Amino acid sequence: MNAALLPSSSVASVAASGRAAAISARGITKSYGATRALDGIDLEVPQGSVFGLIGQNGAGKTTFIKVMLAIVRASAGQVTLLGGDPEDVRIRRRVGYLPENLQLPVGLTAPAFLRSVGRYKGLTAAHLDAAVPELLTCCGLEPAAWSRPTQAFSKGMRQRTGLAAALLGEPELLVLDEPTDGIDPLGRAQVREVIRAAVARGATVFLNSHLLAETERICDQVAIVHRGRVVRAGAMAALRGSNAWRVRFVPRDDGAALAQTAGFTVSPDAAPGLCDFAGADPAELSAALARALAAGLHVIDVTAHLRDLETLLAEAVALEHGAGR
Amino acid sequence: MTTLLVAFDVFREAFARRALLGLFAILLLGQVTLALALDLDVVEGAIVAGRMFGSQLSGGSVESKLRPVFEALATAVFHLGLLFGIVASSDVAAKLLAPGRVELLLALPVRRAELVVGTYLGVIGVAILSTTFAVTGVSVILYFKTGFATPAALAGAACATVGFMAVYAAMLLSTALVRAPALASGVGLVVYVLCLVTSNRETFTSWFQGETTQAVMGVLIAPLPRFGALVDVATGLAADGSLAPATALGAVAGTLAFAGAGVAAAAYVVSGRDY
Repeated sequence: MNAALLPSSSVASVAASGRAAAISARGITKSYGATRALDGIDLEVPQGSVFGLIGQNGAGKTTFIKVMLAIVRASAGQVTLLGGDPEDVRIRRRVGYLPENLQLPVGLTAPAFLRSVGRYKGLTAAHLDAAVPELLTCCGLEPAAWSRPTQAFSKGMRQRTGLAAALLGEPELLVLDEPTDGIDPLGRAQVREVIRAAVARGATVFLNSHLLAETERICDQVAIVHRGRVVRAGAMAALRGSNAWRVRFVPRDDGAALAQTAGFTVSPDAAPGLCDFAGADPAELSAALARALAAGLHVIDVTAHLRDLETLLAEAVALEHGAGR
Repeated sequence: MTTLLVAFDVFREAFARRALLGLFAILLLGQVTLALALDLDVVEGAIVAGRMFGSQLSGGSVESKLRPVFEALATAVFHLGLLFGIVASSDVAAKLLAPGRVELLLALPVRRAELVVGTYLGVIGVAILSTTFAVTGVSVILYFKTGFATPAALAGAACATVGFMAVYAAMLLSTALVRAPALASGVGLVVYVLCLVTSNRETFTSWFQGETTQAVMGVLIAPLPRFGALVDVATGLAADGSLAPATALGAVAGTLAFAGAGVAAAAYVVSGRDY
């Protein structure tokens, strides 16, 4: 197996960050009869990070979240949340959770639902009086909808209500399973803002989403799950590894030598003036371009071949299939 | 405390349901109809003239005339209340354990046993309120018509609630095992019928041939509450306030023990399950 695919990279990232783990999962296995839904997941999520879990349908993402929250019991392995047992109600009081396909109670309005959740979390009536309207507003649920029973809500409205409920009590860990599912593009921007605000006050966010572009925009740490295993995990920049750029300079006789000196790669069969640059950070490209310009080269065109999460996921899945798994 | 929060939520959600609101509307309509259709002239504790839906009522002492009414009311509340309760409450726990709902509840600071017991208490709370509403309404109307008041009808309603506690415990266990409201209704009906049919142990076992078979049947039905005894307690209290303490205590204690075992089993099942 490729060393870069080892899930221990996530553990390393926690150590490097010097932050304690908000979520620590060791050897999590879950079997349903002969089917193994989770196959030894090791994952550590640093406190204060926005951690994205991505993978194909049926990869085991939601099962892992449920194991993490003790909704599903692992067949083997151990999970700690915020340093404690996820079954401990004191730990759960510090966790906010938005499940996939949230169903709201019949006959309740959104504020009444939030109040109900708040009471379970031990929040006072005075706190809820202030927090409920504020959270519903910041999650984008229009005040006109506050007096309507939630069974009349659209999927997006249910999601917004559920997100507001998850945020009650300013939880230290926010677990969001497909939070933007059914929400319009403007609403997604609101959700991103809500997540950023939660992180700004020190919360850890654990996100499962099929919307890879959303995940990419929000998350600083990512794990790719495939067939119940973490096949890649770590900081987004590190996972991307090398992005690629193709640069076309004005051709000149010593162009290839100058470009190579500046840090570009020139293929022997490349057209005159054409060279490539690989690097994790666009700043590295800027520096190389500055060196090339200082050496007397002139840029005609720069084309980016950035490795996004979709590419990373496709690569990881292809590699796993190639490994015969 | 958390158990009561769950019970409160279940109670509140139940009253958002059309079926329950419909029941209360029907009960209220019946009470209003009774109030408007019953015309009694009472002099010194005796009915001297009376009309019900336009028909003449025979005279006599108020108490002797009303006792059979309360007796019939207690019987009706027991059987009709139980049957309606089975149908109306069959999907309460199923909705709570539905995907998308149960995950949120289990991620909150709520223990699984609290969730089960709270659900149970919420449904029983609705049953208590419904039977009390039905019986109190009629009692109040008759009091204003006759000046005669008795708590016996309420005691009858309490017996109906005790019976429902056993039936709903079985329904809750059924839902914990298989989240299917139709199955829960079926289990409720079967338990209700079995508890009625097997109330007289000797008569029931005598239906079977051979001493061994009768002994086996006796063992099988032993845990079932005696609904016949509960109905006797309810109607006895309503009819003349009579009560055989040992019989009443045995019937109530046996029913509550069955209910407690059912709820404990449901809590055990839910605690060990994945959702």
